[in-house]
This record gives sequence, C-alpha cells and structure tokens, in this order.
Amino acid sequence: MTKSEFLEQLEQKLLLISEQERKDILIEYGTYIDDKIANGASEKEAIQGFGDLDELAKEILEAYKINTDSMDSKADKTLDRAYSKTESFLNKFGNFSVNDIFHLIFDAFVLLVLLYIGRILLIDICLNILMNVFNWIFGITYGAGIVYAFEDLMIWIFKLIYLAASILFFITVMSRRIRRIKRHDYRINVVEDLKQSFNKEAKDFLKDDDGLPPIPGTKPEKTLYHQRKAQYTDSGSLLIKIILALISFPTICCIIGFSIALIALFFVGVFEHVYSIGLILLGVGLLGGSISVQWFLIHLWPKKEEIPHA
Amino acid sequence: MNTQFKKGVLELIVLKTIEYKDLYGYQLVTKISEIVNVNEGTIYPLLKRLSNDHLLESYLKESSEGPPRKYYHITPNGIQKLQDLEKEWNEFSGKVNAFLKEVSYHDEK
Repeated sequence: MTKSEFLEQLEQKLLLISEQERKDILIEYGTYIDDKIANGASEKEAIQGFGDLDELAKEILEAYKINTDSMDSKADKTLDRAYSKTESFLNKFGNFSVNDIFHLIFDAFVLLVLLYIGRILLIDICLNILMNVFNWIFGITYGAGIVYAFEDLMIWIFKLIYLAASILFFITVMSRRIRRIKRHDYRINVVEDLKQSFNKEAKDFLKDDDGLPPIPGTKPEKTLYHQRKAQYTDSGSLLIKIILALISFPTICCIIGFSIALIALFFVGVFEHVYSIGLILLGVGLLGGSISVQWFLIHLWPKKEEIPHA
Repeated sequence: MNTQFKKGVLELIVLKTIEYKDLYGYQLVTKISEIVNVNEGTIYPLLKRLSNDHLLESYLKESSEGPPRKYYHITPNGIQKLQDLEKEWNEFSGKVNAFLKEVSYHDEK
C-alpha cells in the first residue's frame, strides 16, 4: 500500500468525524509517515507500523467518542438532557425505561380500542335489539311512556355495569403488563394477556410473587441516548432545528393572536366600560402559556459548539 | 505486554514525556517506544483527547526538512493531571507490589 492509498482508505473510515478534524488527523499521519521514511523505514514498513487499518480507525473514532463533552453538538446534549429528564421522571413510577413506557402506552391504547369496540357491540347494538324486542312485547300492553322510561333506566344501568367492568378489566390486564415489563418479558403481547386474564390463574398474577422465574441478566444498560443511534451524524442537529422551527411557527402565531385579543379586550373595556374578568384572565393565561412555550423552544435550540483544535 | 496495563499507564507516560520537552508526533512515539511497545496509530487519538481536555496544547513550528510540524506542549492543567496520575500510579503499584511480595512469602512457607 502506498502512503496516499493508506490515507485515502483511512479517510473513508473517518467520515463520522467532522471535516476539519479529519483533515487535521490525516495531515498528522501523513507527516508521521514522512518522518518515519526519513528515518530509514520503507513506505510499506511505515504503514505496517500502524497495524490493522480498521482497528486504527476504530481507535481514532473511540478517542472522539470518549471525550463526548467536547465532541457532542448541543443538539445531542439537548436530546440527552430531554431524554434523561423524561427517563428520571418516569422512573419515579417504578423503574421503567422510556421504551417500556411506550410499550405500556401502546398496550393501554390497544386495550381501550378493544373495549370501545366491545362497547359498541354490546351496548349500542345488542342492547338496542333487546330494547326493541322489549318494546314490541310490552309496549302494546302497558303504554308507551312507562316502558320508555324503564328502557332508559335499563340502558343506563347496563352502561354503568359495562363501564365498571371495563375499568376493572383494564386495571387487571395493565397490572399484568406492568409486571411483565418489570421482568422485561416482551414475548407475550397484550392480546395474549387479555385471554389469560380470563383464566383462573389471573388471580395469582395479581399477587406480587407470581412464581415465574426471573429472566437473568436483562438489566437494560442506560447509555446516553445519542449513542444508541446507529450512526453518529450531524443530521440530528438539523432535525431538531426543523422540528423546533415547525413548532415555533404556530406558537408565534398564538402569541401574536393572544396579544391582539388582549389589546382588543382592553380597548373594549376602556371605551365601552364593559369588563370581562374571565376573558382577560383567559387571554393573559394563554398569552403567558405561548410565550413560555416559545421561550422553552428557543432554549432548546442547538448551537454547534466550537470543537477546540489541538 | 498486557494491553490493559498499557492503556492505563499510557496517558501518564505521554504527559511525563511532554512535560520534559515539547515534542512532535514521531519524536513522541520513538521516545515512548523505548519504555513500552505502543501502536503508533493510537498515539494520535490519545494526543487529540488530551488536547481536547486542555491538558496539552499544540503549535506549529517551521522545520528545515519539510512542512511545519505540530509540536505538543503541556499546559498547567496537564501538569496538575500528571502529578495526580503519578501519585495514583505510585500508590497503586506500591500496593500491588506489596501484595505480591506478601503472597509469595507465604507460598515459600
């Protein structure tokens, strides 16, 4: 391999490093090879001294990742901060990673959808049929008024029963889910849990010790969020900027709108002597809310930190 | 030589070497190779890291034999870190040596 081939190949493996730093590194290695040749080594020997090219590239990349404090763009730090704050907040509810929480929310959502479908089937359709049959049988004999009142009562009672049953059901299945997630048992999905909760064993699962063996060694590692991303790229910063800009636009519109509304209320109050405390407070609250959201967004705006040059 | 030992102690050796005299890449590697066998490629990442941590700083110096060379110089922070590392190393190696002596003494019984 020649010196230029070596440097080219090395450059290709270091694309994850910023251009300026990369150039710096390549110049250093180039100069080093020259020095070695000047001291008697052949070009081939000089390059062989570096060992395996992939290993070398890996070490160089690691050297940049290790010192994450100076290498991270503010975008990654923002993500890390936001993510870890969310994680620590959610951890107060019992040691879940954000991943688990998303699982749980999804499961809850699936449950709710199933319950809603069940409600439509049971109450809206079946109950209606029932009531119509009821009408047909009794309406003729007892007079419409009483029967309708009775039916309304029946419908209310059924709805209440269904609601209570759904809540109980929801709590039961969700606690099983939570117990499973605590043991990081992702193999069983929520529908299975649903079926199983109709079994007798459901009662056992409600107790704390449910006799299932703990899954060994599955404590999830909490690495920094941005390191979990497959690639270390700068597009994260761009993405955050786009999202923040998009959210800022309606927020700024809100600020302008609410300010105008407040000013209008003020003038109406002065000229017409009609004050509406409620509306004024509402306007102030909404304006304050939009301003704080916008301030928060600005605070999150990522700035590329100057990477100190060696 | 055991790579784990090397990794731990390389920072100490690099800082000490540069404290003595400002050096550029090739000189540094040559000097360090006299003490431990080191992969030439990994010196630069280490130097970069130490620079980013403000333990070292670099400057370019014209050379008669070719392009300007980047020399590394130790900062006051670097000197402080070097002293800390040296102290840690002395404590650590002292304890390990004492332990090894003690154990081998018992074996001889």
